[in-house]
Amino acid sequence: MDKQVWQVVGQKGVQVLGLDLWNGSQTQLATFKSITGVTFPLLLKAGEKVNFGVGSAGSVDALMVVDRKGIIQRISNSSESALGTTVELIDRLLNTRIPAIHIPATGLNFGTGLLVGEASTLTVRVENTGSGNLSISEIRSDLSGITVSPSTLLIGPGGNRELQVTLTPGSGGPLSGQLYLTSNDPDRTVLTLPISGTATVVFADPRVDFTGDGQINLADFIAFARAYNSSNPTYDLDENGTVGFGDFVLFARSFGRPLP
Amino acid sequence: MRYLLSILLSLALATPALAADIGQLVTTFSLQGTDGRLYSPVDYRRKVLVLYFMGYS
Repeated sequence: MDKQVWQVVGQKGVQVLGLDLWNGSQTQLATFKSITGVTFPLLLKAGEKVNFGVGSAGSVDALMVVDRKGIIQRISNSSESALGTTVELIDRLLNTRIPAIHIPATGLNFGTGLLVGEASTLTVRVENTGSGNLSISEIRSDLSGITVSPSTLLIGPGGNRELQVTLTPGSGGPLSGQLYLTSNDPDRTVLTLPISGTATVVFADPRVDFTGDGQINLADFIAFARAYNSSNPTYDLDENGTVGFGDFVLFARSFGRPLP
Repeated sequence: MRYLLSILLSLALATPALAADIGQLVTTFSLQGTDGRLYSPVDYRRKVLVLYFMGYS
């Protein structure tokens, strides 16, 4: 056994797992730990259960170095050979900064009070719990009527930013979809957040379809404007004898809405 | 002969070969430690991990 290996590697603060290829007993391994001063976990019966093609009972020890993404970066079939190269590699891997996206919310629930054609906004906090800069390059949704601001984000290590997610329902009833955030987090290239809500259709006052074309649009507004300050009962929606501001408010509430 | 093949097959099944090539994701496994806990490489994502294969030399 080469004590130098785990002494050097252990001092770097990396996680070490010892796979016992010789299938020692609990007692043997406890003795081994007391003699060598090893502090990392020793995994029992590795030789019986896994075969990486690396090391074997009776052979010299072997090392496998795995980076933060879980990718094997080095396999050394002798712990004593090229130790310096292994330590340099570990140093380099430890200095590699990796971003990590985290969103505390489990979803975006707009509730049941949505109105068709009216925007509703929720705020979502996005955190970077990693050690490198987090770049969110694309935010999109498969639910129509969703807009997000800002559309891209750059968050430093340990930082957070807020996203404004606005939903303008185009139809009534239950709504569901996903929000997709594409980032440089190697573990979660695309983070998905479910969106839900229920929208209600609000109909227009049929009296404000002054032109009779089945829509409440600019033509109706022009007709209304021409009648403003008159006593024309067609446009006197609040029935106070004059076409005034109160009538305009009632007209505006119906503008753009469907007729029942 | 058939008996020998059965033994070899049993050994092969008991010790499944796992991928271990540089540049590949480390194949996961779960093994009990001397402290009774189960350990798996996936528990150490975001950390640099060294797997130390101990023979008895």
